[in-house]
Amino acid sequence: MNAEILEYIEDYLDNKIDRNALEAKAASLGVSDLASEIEFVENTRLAVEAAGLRNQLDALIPNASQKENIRKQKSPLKLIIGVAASVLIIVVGYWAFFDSNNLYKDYAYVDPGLPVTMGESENYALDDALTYFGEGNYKVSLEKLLAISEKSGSNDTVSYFIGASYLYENQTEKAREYLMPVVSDSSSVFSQKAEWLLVLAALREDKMEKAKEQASQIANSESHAFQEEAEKLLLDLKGE
Amino acid sequence: MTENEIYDGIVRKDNRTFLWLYRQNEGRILNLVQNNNGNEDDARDIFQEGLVALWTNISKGKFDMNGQAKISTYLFTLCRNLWISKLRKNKKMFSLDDNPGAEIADEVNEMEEQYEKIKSLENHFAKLGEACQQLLSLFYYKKASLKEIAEQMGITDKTAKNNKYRCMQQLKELFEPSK
Repeated sequence: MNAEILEYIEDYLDNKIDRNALEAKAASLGVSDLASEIEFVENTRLAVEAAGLRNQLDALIPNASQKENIRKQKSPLKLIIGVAASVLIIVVGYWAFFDSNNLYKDYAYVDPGLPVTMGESENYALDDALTYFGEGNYKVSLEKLLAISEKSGSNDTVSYFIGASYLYENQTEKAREYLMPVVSDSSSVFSQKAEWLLVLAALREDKMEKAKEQASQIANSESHAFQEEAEKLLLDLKGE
Repeated sequence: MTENEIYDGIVRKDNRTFLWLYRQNEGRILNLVQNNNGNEDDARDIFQEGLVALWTNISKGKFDMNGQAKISTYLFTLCRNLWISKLRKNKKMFSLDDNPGAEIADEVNEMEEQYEKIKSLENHFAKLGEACQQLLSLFYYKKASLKEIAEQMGITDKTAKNNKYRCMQQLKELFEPSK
């Protein structure tokens, strides 16, 4: 295989040239066994992608399994602790119910991220960052998204996911800095989600008046994706 | 998820689709493996193998979306067969009565053959130097351009192109003696 025929085979596999054009080039370059050369390049592309996919799954599946295990594991000691915790919750129920952190948890929206399209998108840096975001590894997603923002500037997608990562990392001030411009951009598909994340940021900071104010705006907007949640939250906040 | 969504998700290597498939099949695969000389880690490994095998066949155009069974059934049957192969290699006994994919046995056998070819090449790819693995992975897996690769690796575009060819040649030389 020479460098030139490799390029033509890649073009053929990417449907940039047809079989006849490839065969003509192969003949002019004196390539004798074109079929096996094509098979090798095609299989190599798949093998390299398969290796990448294996790494992707290695990072993904243990995470899922660990999360599941945390949920499923209930040792007798944990059950006793659970019962004790339930009693405690009943005793301090009223105060706990209105505690802002509990409200944050009750109304938390964990964005699953965009479908990761590795293998198709040219913007592999963003795909890479969103893979970590989808796995809940916000520290790494943040590093990668900030690097993208620094290098290429921010669009609404990058800003939204930086803001969301900051929120999930409990850095609400920073979260607000990135989410507010997304809310202002009503043409952005992330605008409503960003608005709700700002409510969550206020809850997390114990700024109940601010949370009420922002939730009211959402509750009054009939087509808002988080209208129902906002209405429920306002009812909870009224009892405070 | 619909069959079309699952299919598209696998093609795109979408993490959410993979997690969905994992959760759908986790219990069955765990039962299969744990009842046949394996543990939880083996079950996870075999699920990953099955998924890579399924993706390989879809990418090679060897998977018929209008086939006889659901994608999940193909995936489970692939995992089952791969686990049997592994047990055979380790000369361990097995007693797998549950074979929900009997009607698609021939198709799945073909899928396994395709996968084994790619896996063999993948094993040789792992023997390449780190720089070659990184370059080919950036190009074929991450779909980075040669310009982006050059930037990331601190080389010129032309060097990136030449190195890519050299890495392919090295892989071919590693692979061909075993053919």
